[in-house]
Amino acid sequence: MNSDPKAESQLVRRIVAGETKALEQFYEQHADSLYAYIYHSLNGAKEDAEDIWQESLLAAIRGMDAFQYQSRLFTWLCAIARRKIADHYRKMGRSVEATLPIEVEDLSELIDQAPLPEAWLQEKTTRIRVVTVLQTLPEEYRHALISRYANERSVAEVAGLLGKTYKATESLLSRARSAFQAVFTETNGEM
Amino acid sequence: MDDQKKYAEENIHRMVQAGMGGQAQPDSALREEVLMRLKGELRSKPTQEFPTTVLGLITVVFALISDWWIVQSGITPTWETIVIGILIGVNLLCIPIGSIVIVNRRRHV
Repeated sequence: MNSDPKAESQLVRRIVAGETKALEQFYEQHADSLYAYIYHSLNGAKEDAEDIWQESLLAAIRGMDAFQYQSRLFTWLCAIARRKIADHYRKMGRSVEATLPIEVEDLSELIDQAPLPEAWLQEKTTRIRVVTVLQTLPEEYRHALISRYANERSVAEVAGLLGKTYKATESLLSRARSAFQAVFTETNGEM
Repeated sequence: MDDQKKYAEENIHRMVQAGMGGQAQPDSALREEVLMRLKGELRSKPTQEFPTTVLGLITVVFALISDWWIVQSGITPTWETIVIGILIGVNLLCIPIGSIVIVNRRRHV
């Protein structure tokens, strides 16, 4: 998993105690994924996503001492973001229900069988699921996958970023892909 | 087997790109700005800690009060009054010690 619950609870305690280094670590681990989660939830409304992202992170820092350790930290952050998104839609006079992602067919079994349909990849549900699955992976795996595939860096560049050899990075990417596929298939869209 | 590997790599590439690529990442300037804001928020947030030194002082004060009561009572010390004195002292000490334990637990929950 991303970081074990014990490490996560220690991180939360350090933030509550006012440690800036812990805040930076928290930000590195969760901020970008939370942004992606909000961005997809809002169907790519960039400005709104930026506002809600900031509001959600501020609310998380303000209310971190109320974190109950009953869920993973990222799940808790997503719950805060969902409330902010709902408030945003209410202010706009739109029904929250109408904006919820629709269920799409689970094609995870096809990951190693055939090219996945582009329309399925572009579905809000799929993209949110990708973000949440990535967030459950160990940090090194997530970092490698995002650098290589989202940021389109070469294996050599990823190796440089991670301070590993080319061969070790190829092996890490292979393990990261397997872990991603396993979690994606396992979760069946439910995080 | 090679086909499976090839499809998995291509599909995961496209999935990660769809989830985290392009516009789905915050601008680096905004990213920095928000981190600064959060740091400011953290610094301005009052720490919800009860100072341990104050709790320590309360303990000492309670202990002295219990001793003073026993001394002031003018009772000739017998083994019964000593036992009662110890019990009162221990009971009074439980208040600040219990407070320290509770506060420390709340800090780490």
